[in-house]
Amino acid sequence: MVANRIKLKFIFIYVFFIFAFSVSAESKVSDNDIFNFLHKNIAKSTAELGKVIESCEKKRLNSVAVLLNVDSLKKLKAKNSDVILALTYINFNNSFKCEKSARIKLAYDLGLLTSVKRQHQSNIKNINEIEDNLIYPSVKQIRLSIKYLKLPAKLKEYIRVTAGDKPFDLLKILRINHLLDI
Amino acid sequence: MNMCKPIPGLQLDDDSLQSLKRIQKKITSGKFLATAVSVGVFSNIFTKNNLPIASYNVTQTDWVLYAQSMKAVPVIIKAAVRQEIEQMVINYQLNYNHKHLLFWKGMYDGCQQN
Repeated sequence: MVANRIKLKFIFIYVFFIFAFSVSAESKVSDNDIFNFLHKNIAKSTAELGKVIESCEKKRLNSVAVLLNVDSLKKLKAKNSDVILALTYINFNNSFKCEKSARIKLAYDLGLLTSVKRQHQSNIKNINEIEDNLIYPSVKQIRLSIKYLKLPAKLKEYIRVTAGDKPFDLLKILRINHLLDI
Repeated sequence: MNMCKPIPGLQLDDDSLQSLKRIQKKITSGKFLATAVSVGVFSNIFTKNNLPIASYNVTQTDWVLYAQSMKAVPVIIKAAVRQEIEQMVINYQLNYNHKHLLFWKGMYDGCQQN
């Protein structure tokens, strides 16, 4: 008798779960669910980018400022302005490489939200502002990349090898090499 | 932190004024990012009419993720602002403008008023 009751209880519980799960599986995904999902992805990639930037910043602050060889620069007939330009570009490039994957992930998540919002004819101005001002390189940085490409190949090679491929403290390197007036 | 040194006769040029505007935009965009991060969390709480579902969602919400992402926002803003300032220092070094160079170097290092 008692065994039958317990059996019946289990059957009820079983039927309840089957019913509950079938209902939840068939329930519709609302627009709100979609936006929550997208915003949660943005939260994840923001947290990740924050961690990556902190780790790259540590590398930058702990970097040893390298001394450029005056004779090598003389041989290359390098102008101070070209050396500054090359170091600035390599500094930007090393930092960008260090943060690249996390930046791309956040840019993608913001881009996906923009795309969905556009389909819903919602305002995307603020999302675009985040991308323009915090995620992508500035126009100045793109201009710098183009100027760097025009520098003599041997100078680029020398600075690239000397500065290395890790983030470094640009102003510290410039100062130690007497390339900064203050 | 260093004390702020006066730069007599400094009048910010267009480049500097534009750069200060860009820095302001970066800070504002950081606020937008904080909002974008918060929306997912708080809409779970406030968009459900049914109280038991709402409380279920509050406990389900990933508060750890929320805290981590909110902590990341100022880090992202600071990195963007530092890059902007660094570029201005380089700009005035290359153009031999000592007063502006002092101003932007001061921005880079930070200083406090007397």
